[in-house]
Amino acid sequence: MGSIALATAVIAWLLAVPAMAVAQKGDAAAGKAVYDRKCAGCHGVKGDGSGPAAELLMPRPRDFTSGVYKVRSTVNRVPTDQDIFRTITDGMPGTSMPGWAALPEQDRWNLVAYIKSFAGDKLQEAPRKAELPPDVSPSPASLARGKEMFEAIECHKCHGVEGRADGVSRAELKDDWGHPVKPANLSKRWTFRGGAGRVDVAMRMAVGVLGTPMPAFLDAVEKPEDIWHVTNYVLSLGPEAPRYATLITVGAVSDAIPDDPAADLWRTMAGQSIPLMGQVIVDPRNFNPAIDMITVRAVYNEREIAFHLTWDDPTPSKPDGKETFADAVSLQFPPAAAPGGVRPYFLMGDASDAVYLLRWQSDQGVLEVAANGPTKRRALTGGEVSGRAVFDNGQYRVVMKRSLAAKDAERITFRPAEFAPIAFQAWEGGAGETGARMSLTSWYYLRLEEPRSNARFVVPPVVALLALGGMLLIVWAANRRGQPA
Amino acid sequence: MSFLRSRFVQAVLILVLAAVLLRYGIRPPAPWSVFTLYMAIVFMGVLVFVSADADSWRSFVRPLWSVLVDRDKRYLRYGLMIVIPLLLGYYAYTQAAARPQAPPELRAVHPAPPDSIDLRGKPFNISGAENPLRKDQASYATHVAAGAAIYFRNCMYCHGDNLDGQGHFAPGFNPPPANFQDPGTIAMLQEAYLFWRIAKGGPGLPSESTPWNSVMPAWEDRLTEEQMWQVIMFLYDFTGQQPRRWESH
Repeated sequence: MGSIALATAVIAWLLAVPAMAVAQKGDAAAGKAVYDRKCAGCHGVKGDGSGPAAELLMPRPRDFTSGVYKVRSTVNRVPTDQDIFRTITDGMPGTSMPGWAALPEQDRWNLVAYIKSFAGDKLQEAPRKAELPPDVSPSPASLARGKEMFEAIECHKCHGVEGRADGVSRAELKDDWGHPVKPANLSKRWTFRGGAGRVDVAMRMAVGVLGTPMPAFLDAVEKPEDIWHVTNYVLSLGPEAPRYATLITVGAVSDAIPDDPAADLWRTMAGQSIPLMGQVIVDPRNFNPAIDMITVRAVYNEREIAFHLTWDDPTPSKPDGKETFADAVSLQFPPAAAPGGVRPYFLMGDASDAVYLLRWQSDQGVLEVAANGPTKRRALTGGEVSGRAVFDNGQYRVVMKRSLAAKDAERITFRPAEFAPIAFQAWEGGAGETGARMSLTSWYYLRLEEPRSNARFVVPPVVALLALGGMLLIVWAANRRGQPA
Repeated sequence: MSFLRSRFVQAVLILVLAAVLLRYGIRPPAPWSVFTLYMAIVFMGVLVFVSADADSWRSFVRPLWSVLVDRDKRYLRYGLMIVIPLLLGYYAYTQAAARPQAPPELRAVHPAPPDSIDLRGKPFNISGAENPLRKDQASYATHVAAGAAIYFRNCMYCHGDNLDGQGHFAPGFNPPPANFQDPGTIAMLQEAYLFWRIAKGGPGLPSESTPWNSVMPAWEDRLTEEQMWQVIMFLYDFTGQQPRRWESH
């Protein structure tokens, strides 16, 4: 009994420690020392959001003198200290604000005190905590009601029908400072500024996101519990976190491969997602790339290879050659395997080593290109490429097909069971991306899977039977021999 | 506690204890191959221990023998004859069904720097080079501040606000951006080494670092010589690390 009481006491104490931390007060003067080292690079020494990096970032770093905080759990404009503490600790996903959990907890509380001091008397009012209605767990009925309310309170106007940040008023959205602001892509929960948890999503909906066009819906929904129905619906629009692939596997099929991106074959395959980052090496640099992920499905048969690519893009762009350009993606390969695994420069090769690009462009379809750098591109003609694209609710799905064997030395030949380097590039023409202004990856590997043998069904029973036989033999021998000497 | 006197129980205890110690007692965790190697050595030691004399060996073998022949242990015997083949069969399945992984890229993380590089058409000696800005102690703070501004406009996206290699572009790239807070990076390198890496970037890596996949730009295209030295000063100042000095001859 004594040990149980002791264990209870220890657990109670452990639980009490974080609770005590919540009540801690920060020291603004000590916070300044941390702030000047860790935060001023973006938020500026004066806290006005104008550090050296500010103009390159989208969204821009917070101007603390405004006293406006995006992430809060209150019904008035003042966040709780815990809200600010949490934003410092977890960062703002989808922006350049990282989580600062590596800083000692006391430092983070000191930062809270110092950051609040920038706002002068704008944060004088006491925060009034928002009360969420009782949680409603997800169910088909809840999802149906959530979808209904999603349209009724016009979430889709900004976030899009499927939640892919492609709503009709998307282009007109501005924050309180007049900077253009993008609606959240609800199918990419890991980029939610205030966190991807159920309560986080419900709270953002309930009290809104200050400084942005996202209003508070706590009083706008028909019944309070609708907050949870819509939350359940939003959570159903995408996974909580992406599972990025490190190897692109191309499955083997024996039938003809469909051109249609909506064909059943593609639906039955698991997608392999790859994160894309901004191109910041050659001018014009792209610090805030529009396309951050491509999902790949790929198959081959004895003649052809086909890539099915899925990515989010708010609009199918109609190029005007000035501000709007064609939407495009490229798959990049070295034309030939080099000894020692040496590959061309990942950024579309260089003067001495060319790369081969299998490219889809919204105005020209599937193309083959040889490149010796981002600006030195030559169209390759005479190849057999085909493909089709569909655009649906803020998402492109494209199929690109090509023969396995190369026509000439400038193109890659795909061979089963070999690792071939592959890299990805993408352009959102509607966001002005063209030429070197793109998002990209470095080299990954691609592998054409051999048709799977049945070894995995044959070998294990054989091993098990052999083991059983061996054991029977040992038991038989032992019993024959009688007692040990 | 009489069962502790059984050699068999002792042998099992030693093996379990060794496994727990090797698995959880070593930080950072030892790779699986090292773990199996050490366990094999422990197992051989245990065999030597239990077979030290005839009594000991008999004490070790008795429970095993009993499971094999005794009538009252027959259910245990049948159970083992089901469980062990199943386990082996499952292991064979995991091996046969394994899918290929991307090939590992073994590369020299800190390749030897060249003696001299070509910096915008001029030869530049790396070997023995010192940061020229450090002589001017009066302007130390100015240079660090200038370095900070350069860092936040150019390097932060990959190497991170906290210089820990966790910038918001970092998850997209392999090899991951260098973590300057790690004592295994800038603290064990001379400033001239950093100058070379910053000036020449991924494209300037020597052949022993192939197949290189670094996306580090060659900053000589964008930053002046002084700016590169300033950002180096900022890296050391922010992290509180000291550069390694050239050995005096």
